[in-house]
Amino acid sequence: MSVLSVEGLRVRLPTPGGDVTVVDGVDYEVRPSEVFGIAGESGSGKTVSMLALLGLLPERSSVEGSARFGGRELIGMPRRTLRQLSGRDLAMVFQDPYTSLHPMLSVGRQLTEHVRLHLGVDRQAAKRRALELLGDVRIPDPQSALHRFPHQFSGGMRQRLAIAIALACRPRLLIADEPTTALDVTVQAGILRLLDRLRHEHELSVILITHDLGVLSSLADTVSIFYAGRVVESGPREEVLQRPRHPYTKALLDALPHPEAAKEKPLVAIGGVPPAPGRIPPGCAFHPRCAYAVEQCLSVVPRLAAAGDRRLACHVDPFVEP
Amino acid sequence: MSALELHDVVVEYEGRGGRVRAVAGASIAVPAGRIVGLVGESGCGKSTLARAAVGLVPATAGTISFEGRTVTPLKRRTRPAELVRLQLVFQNPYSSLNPRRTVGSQVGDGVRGVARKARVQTLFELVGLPAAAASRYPHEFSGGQRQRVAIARALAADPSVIVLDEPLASLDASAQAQFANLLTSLARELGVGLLLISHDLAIVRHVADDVSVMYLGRIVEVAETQPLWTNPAHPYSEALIAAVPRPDGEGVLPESLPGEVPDPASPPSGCRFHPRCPYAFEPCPREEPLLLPLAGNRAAACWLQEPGATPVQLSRPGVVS
Repeated sequence: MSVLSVEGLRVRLPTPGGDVTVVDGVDYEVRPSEVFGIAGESGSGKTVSMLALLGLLPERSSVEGSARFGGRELIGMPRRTLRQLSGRDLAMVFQDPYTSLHPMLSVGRQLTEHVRLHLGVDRQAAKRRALELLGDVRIPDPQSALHRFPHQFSGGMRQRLAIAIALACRPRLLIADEPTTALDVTVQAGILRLLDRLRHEHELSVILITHDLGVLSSLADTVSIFYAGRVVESGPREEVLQRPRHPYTKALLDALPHPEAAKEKPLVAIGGVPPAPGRIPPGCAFHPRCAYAVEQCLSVVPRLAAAGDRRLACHVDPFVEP
Repeated sequence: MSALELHDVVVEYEGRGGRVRAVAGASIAVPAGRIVGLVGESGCGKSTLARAAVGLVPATAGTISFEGRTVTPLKRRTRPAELVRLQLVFQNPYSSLNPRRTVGSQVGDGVRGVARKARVQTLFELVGLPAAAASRYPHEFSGGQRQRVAIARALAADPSVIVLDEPLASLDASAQAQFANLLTSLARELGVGLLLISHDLAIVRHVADDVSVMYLGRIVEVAETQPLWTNPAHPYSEALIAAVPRPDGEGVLPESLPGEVPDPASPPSGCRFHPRCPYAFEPCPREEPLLLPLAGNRAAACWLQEPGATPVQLSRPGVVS
């Protein structure tokens, strides 16, 4: 039984030059207590596909497909109902805690207001819950933290506060969009460990969006690689990252500095640049940058289909093990 | 002798509660043709040190020299011609390029003499951009390409040293890889010395020849990259390395370093790292260790290490070499 099941998600955003397709048929499932990692370059539709679920896209965007969350359909749900749901059962943490926290309200106010709004408890109970949450995310001295303001905390602590607010109503799914990108590695490690502890302790499923395959590898159970608004490869973390089968996944991994690699061995960058939305090549969107492309890749969009231990969208499948 | 040398540099800012020492006596040398990495958490003073190195902020004490000449703080007067060969590339190529001028004309600003157009084209090719890109505007480029334009503009001054402040921070993996390769070729083929400031240890490890590790205004360890990575001599270096998540698919969480960089306005007594150090012992809170040379052309500021001796192997559990 999955917590979230997304099928055929397609998002078109209005731009001055006409509507462009940013997410083009995305399928995935998130299971209970699972960290579902989504990786891809900027512009691959990672964030937009999440905003679509929460109804946070600009007016006049069109969203097609289905996203079932706890037996309810999120796509096409009235805004009011969706707003009640998101924040309570479904929460999101963004990259930049500076902008997602209110600078003029005390931490206590931001935590309790949220709890009172969604759970309808009284002031005292809300305060108890706030203290509990601050302890949960390991903010030192929770009692005094309640009376402080976001600017009095460091970047890492602010991200912990944002996570505390997101967890306030005991959501079943937390969407974390690049939650550690703005942080130092030492602080990032702390946040990754926190997320890992919370999902075990609270039966929380996490969708982790990141461009950092190291982050993905350390926390995610299942990974999904996005390219140009589509999923190109998806499966258990170990299989996908240790034995990538899509040429794009392989190329992304080859571009990283490897601890064991010989020095002076140049990193293998992917030739070309990711296509701009609205200028997605026909066929497999990766074919202009792919060394393995064949005739078919130029015109036929490969379907994401089961391929052994994973799902793969590639006509060639050059790295399949015999 | 190194092209760029900073010796015991102190940089103080006027803060609300008095003077704040962002850099509290740091030395670093960048020889021609070498890539020197400078790493540390945010707030450790690495960007301030970079700015002081090129004269963007005045040093309160210490000496900064470039090719034997003192680097003077930038004022309203034209910078002496000999200091122009020391260049800086900023973190965000979007805010450091003028959005209303073509990139070609911005790169051309730094070119002296005639045949400017031909030189601009050469510079674009050097950084891996098509010559035709010169007539475009910054918004027409991706982040990685813009950072290349910023490099081309620095190269226009025919520099012998370029200081790069977090040049890779906003780039995707593939763009980072391309950029890292470009940096290596600048050093190897053009003989430019690079001071690469970054919090991304994985990339620094890949491109840098030497690394300096900075903590709260001080350099705590200096070593060649490979020995530093496999056998860090300072507990802080060890913690930084252990915190890097590895893309190996093993699902191992990186080690976190408890606590935060303390306020530079009131640094801890003794060794500045001691409140966060898992190895701290009796002398650490009392007396500050000096950066002393160790065997193998390296140096560390830690009471665990014996000056002149082979560095003691640190053994924090969970650290992979």
